[in-house]
Amino acid sequence: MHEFFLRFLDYTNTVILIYFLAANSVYTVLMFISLYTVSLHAKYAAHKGYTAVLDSPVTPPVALIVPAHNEERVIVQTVLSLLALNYPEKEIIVVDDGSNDSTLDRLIEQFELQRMDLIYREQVKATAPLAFFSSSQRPELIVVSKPNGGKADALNVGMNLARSPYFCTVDADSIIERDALLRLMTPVVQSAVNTVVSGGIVRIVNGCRLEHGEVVEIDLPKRWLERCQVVEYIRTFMFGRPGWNSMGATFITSGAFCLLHRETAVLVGGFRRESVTEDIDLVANLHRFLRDKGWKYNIVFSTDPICWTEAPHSVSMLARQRRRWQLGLMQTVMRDNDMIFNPRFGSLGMFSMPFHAYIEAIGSVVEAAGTILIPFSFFIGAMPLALFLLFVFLAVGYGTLLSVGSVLLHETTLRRYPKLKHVLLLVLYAVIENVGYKQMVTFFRAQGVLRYFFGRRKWEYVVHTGKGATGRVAVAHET
Amino acid sequence: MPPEATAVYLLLENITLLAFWLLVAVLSINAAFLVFILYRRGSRRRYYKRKDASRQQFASLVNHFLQGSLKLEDAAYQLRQVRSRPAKDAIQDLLLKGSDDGNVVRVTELLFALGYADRWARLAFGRKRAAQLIRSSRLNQGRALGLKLRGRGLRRIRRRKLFSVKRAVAVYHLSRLAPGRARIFLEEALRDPGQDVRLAAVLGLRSDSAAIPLLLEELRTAVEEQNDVSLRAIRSALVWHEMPELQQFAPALTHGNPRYRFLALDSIRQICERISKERSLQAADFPAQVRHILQHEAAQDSSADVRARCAAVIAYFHDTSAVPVLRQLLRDENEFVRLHAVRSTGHPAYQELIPEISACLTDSRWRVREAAARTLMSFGHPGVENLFRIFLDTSDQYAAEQVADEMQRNGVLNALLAELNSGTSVAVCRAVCIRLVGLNKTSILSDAVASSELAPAHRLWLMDALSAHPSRHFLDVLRELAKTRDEPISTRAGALLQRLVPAAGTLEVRHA
Repeated sequence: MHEFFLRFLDYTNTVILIYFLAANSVYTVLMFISLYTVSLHAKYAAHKGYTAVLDSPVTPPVALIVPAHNEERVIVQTVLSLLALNYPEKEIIVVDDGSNDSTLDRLIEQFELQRMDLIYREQVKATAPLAFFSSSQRPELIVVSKPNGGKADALNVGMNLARSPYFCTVDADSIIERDALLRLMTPVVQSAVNTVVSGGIVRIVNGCRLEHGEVVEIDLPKRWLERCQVVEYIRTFMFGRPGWNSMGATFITSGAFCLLHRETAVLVGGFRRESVTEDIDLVANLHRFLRDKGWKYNIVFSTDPICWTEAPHSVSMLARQRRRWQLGLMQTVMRDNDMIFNPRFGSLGMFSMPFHAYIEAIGSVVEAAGTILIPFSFFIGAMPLALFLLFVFLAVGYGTLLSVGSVLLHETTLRRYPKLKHVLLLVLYAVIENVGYKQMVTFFRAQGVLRYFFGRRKWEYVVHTGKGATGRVAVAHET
Repeated sequence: MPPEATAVYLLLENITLLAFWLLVAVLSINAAFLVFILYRRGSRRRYYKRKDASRQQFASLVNHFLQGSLKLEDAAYQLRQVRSRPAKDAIQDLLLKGSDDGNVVRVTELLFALGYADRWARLAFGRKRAAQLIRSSRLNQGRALGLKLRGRGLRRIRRRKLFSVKRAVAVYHLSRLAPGRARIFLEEALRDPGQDVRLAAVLGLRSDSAAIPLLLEELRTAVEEQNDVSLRAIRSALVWHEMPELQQFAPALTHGNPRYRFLALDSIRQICERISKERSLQAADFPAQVRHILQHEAAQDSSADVRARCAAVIAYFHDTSAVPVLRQLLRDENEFVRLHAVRSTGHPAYQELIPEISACLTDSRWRVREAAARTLMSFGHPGVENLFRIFLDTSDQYAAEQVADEMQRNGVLNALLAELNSGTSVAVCRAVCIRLVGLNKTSILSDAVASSELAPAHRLWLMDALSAHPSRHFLDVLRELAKTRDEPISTRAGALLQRLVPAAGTLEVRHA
């Protein structure tokens, strides 16, 4: 029995080490590709400006769809920030998804909306709305009230009501930078083929100061948990996604701020209500549909359109968020597993999907197991010091290189944190987050995977306190 | 120690060493990253400090030059003394920022005199080619020096973003020169293998009327998929040209490729749209040849897209010569042609088309119905009156719903309710209200009952009308009114509630 146990540990540890080697190799390749593409993009974008897109009558109108469930504290500010966006022609559709608080009343009061009986054409399946509110003074703003049906359902209602050829999904607790929509539209306008999705960066607003729905002063949050998330977001958005984008293999775009081609989204049936991460699911659907049809298309990700969002403040909320994300990723990769290593899907099928399925999704269980088993093996004497050190290097040491590298890339391109103190703190947390925080998140992700296999596939709500940024009302609300 | 054990021991020792050295390497790289960040912060701070100082130092000199109070030679002499990069960049920014249609030629001369243009050209085209182009530009030849394509392998490398971004930025700067001087560089850049470079060139040609044939050629090659610059980008450049320059579009409007014809015509539509925001257009603004093509060829084009765009353009004639063509397009077999024709006719000059537009309210396609309702609204009183008449007379449910939708969105219904007080068109108002109740479009009417802005007599009448098909929202309003002391409204609300509430259980969510 003892020998069997040692042999089991041996094999398991080998698998875990191979996993870490493979994961780090991919991350390194992505890091180099991202360093190259992000720097070039920043260099070019700094010169060309966006006035050509802003002034051009050719720039297509966009419908901004804001699903809102119990967002009374932030909804008015969010809508004000959307109304102030620098964009030639836009419509704003707020979908109140059965809120129990005064989300709807706040909107009606602030924007002097009037209840109307508008025509609603169901092009994608969604729960029928209860009422529409608009105002002849602000015809670009429409508020829809509907019974609670989840975010995907609310987005589908917005899609049905939108009249513009493109729509942009916006989370109700997000703040969009004034030029962000223009920047998001630029690759669409400048692409020679139909760009069906254009994604941007999501940044953490915790610690920043807001005024009239705009970030006026950028600062780092005070708590370690949020600071670690700041570094994590920088790493994800500066290294992972630009790398896949440059290979034409974008698989994940953040639904907090994402531009989509309406007609194509309607053709694939809109957002799937069963998925807990409807954004990832839709991108996979679009890839499949467009490849099946043989139509030329583009799914792009840019590093300069920025949306600010509130990060969880407590470990329990972080756990809920990460479990949900991982569960959603699992749902998508398992449903679309025929795309994995399928050359018909190009680099998406050959590289991106296998990476997301085996390293990002299922890999989190291996990583979590490694985090427990390898130190355990070392302490019971089943693993020599040398291998243990190698594991520590792969799990922690190499991670610091990737995190510090992403901070460096951020500093040389976007440079959103103005003070030197911020950058030094970011570098410090880029090192610190690899010990403790990263392992904790890995456990939450592994939980998400296990929940998928055990059939617990419910949406977990993350309660935001609204205390993240100065200038927001500090009362609890849900997203 | 047995030899196997020694081998294992050595292997483990090697792995330990490897792990150790890897860790050292990673930490060293991290430290190097940190040093680089600090160095870059410092160097950028110094650079911007110097640039700001230079900007302040040269701002007044550059302003004098831009305003024409300083001669080109004097400005060039003084600015040529500058050696540092921050100062040179500051001057470049000042000159480019201050450049406008009035002084662009002088600014261009100065940029050449100070060597900026030469530097951009060298970055974009290489030393030898840049020298040729600059010479040609100085002579103001205004045309390119013949095709010169580099080797295929080299083009493939130059296409990479790594190498093309620098060229694209240089071309972007060159596009800021006076159109006549810039064209030769931009024309050359159109042959560049890098997409970014060609994009910069296309957008740079937007202010040069002599470049329209070049842009149209780019458009044609893009349509025929021989060019990877986006169609939108090319059209963005085309739409900045003026009405007299439409003459140059004539060959494109009669080209054999229908998609090319459509895109050229669409660019004309956007030019018209842009200019009409500043002044009203007339048929005389269009060159005679283009006018002729629009009336006699595009309106009968085999491509529905072209006919649809023709409707949108011809509507800018704003005179009777456009009426027969628009009438014909309003009855076109293709729904998109009808849609664009309807959308385009919302101008007083086309009032005689109101019957045809009204007929579109009963079109089988909802987009056409929606556009017809909007267009009729845009005619003001005659259009709205007609809309009410159709709304009241039609037996077409879809048409009535579309009109109801637009009346709500545009505030026409609110205005109509306000007219009840003045007593001008009470009969029409009441008829419209009854029709709306029949369609279950009662939200605004219910709110009007609750509003004290409406005279009590009208509120009472509305309450009775709404009680014919009570919605949940109306019942909520009645409940609120019944609680008030607003007589006689509250009494009537109470009475109606007593009559309606037993039946209310069957009325769930009808208003939705």
